[in-house]
Amino acid sequence: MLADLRTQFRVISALTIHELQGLMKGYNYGFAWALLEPMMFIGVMRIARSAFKSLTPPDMPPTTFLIVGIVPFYMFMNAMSSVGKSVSGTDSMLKFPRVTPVDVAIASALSDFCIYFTLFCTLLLPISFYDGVFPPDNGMEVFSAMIALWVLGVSVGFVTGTAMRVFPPIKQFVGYTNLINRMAGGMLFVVTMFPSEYWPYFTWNPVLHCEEMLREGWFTTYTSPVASPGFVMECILGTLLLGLSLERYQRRIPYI
Amino acid sequence: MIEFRNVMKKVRLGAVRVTYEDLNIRIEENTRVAFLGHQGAGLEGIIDLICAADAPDSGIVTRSHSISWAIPGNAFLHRHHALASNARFIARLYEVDSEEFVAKVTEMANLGEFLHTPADRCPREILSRFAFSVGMCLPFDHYILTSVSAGGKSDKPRFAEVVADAGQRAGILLATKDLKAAQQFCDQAYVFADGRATYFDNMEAAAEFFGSLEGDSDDTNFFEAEEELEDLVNMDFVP
Repeated sequence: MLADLRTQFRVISALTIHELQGLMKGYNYGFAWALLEPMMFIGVMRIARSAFKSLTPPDMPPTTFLIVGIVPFYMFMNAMSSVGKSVSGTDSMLKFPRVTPVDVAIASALSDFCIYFTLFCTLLLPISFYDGVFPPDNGMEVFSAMIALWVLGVSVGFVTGTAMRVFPPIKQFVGYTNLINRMAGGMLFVVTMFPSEYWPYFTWNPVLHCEEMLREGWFTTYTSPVASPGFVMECILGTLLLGLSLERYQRRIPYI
Repeated sequence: MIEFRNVMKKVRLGAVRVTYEDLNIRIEENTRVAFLGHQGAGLEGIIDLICAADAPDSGIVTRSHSISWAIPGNAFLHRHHALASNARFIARLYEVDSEEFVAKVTEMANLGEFLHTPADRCPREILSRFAFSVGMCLPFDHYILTSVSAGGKSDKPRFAEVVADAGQRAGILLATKDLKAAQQFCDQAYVFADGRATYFDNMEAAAEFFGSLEGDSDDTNFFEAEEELEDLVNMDFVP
């Protein structure tokens, strides 16, 4: 059992390094795009904030506020998408007898974590220092929320990937849910920007809870009235169990 | 031991579908077994089952010793990476000393100056030798082969020696339609045809039975054809 786990750990680390090395090659622009997309989004939102002051809360510096929300959200989305792709399609790495679809999925999600965590630290440390909100109020909470978002992305990826494999048109549906998540996932707002009677429309979403924890953990001026780590844990355990069970079940289903 | 117990698998070959039902195969350690099948017999699907790249529709496939991937498959090659970097990835994956492994591969494949050249800038012959050597330089209990040669004609005897040597210290499973190669390296065979696998404990009987089957005489080795197609899709144009 321990030997198997050790082997799986080695396989996942080898695949992760291989994937990161592949992205670093400027030839296919993979790494550059991974960095550019969230940075451009942050830039656009920051410009929009200059015109519309109400886009971000007044007691949090806008640039830091946007980075704390956007980069982890992109990490969640990319982890979900990478795992979904790995589980729903055939990967050339599966030709190796010691590589399983779960290894490929975890390795690609890990490489996303490495990219976005590096981007998060690189952008946030100098900018938050400039904005005067460094160090974070609770670094552990920020880190835990990032890990929770990543694991949530992996779990949801397993569920959507298995669904896409048996019924490919579900890809469209996943696209729509991602759009809803972008709007309602707390990437660009905190719930206190809305009247409390609207909060139940947002709090069903575990991504919002993670985003609230991130803001609460970074800013001393913000205490989230809704963030619930317990709810996030429940959602992660539920979706991870469902996703891994579905992945196990669908191994015998031929590729479409 | 590699064992198929009551395996059912539908193998898709374009529009054609081959269905293997109630497949029972047992390959002991240190044995030299040929899987013989004409084009359309669905051998790729059977090899994918052995290598765990695919799961059976029903039944169980078990492996109790280490097996290679289908050598000389090169699907793992990252085209923008140098051959040395690709070899290091395999070394990391199979937990062997990477510098020693790269040196062994370089020597066996005779890579020379191409060791530090990206895969998409290497000639096909070099890539073929590299893919073959990467697999054969690792210490497996059973080598799964879809071809016993790589590179050009002049490399054939050298690689035949490598395969014969591997057959002395480990097991060989050769999936091919090349009867001569199967007779040279194997001493027992399964012949795949019409959704059935027939076992022969000597190559003479297997050859006689295989010869009596109707096969397309013009077909190329389908594994090679698949690799050629992969190459055409993956390779950039190098002037």
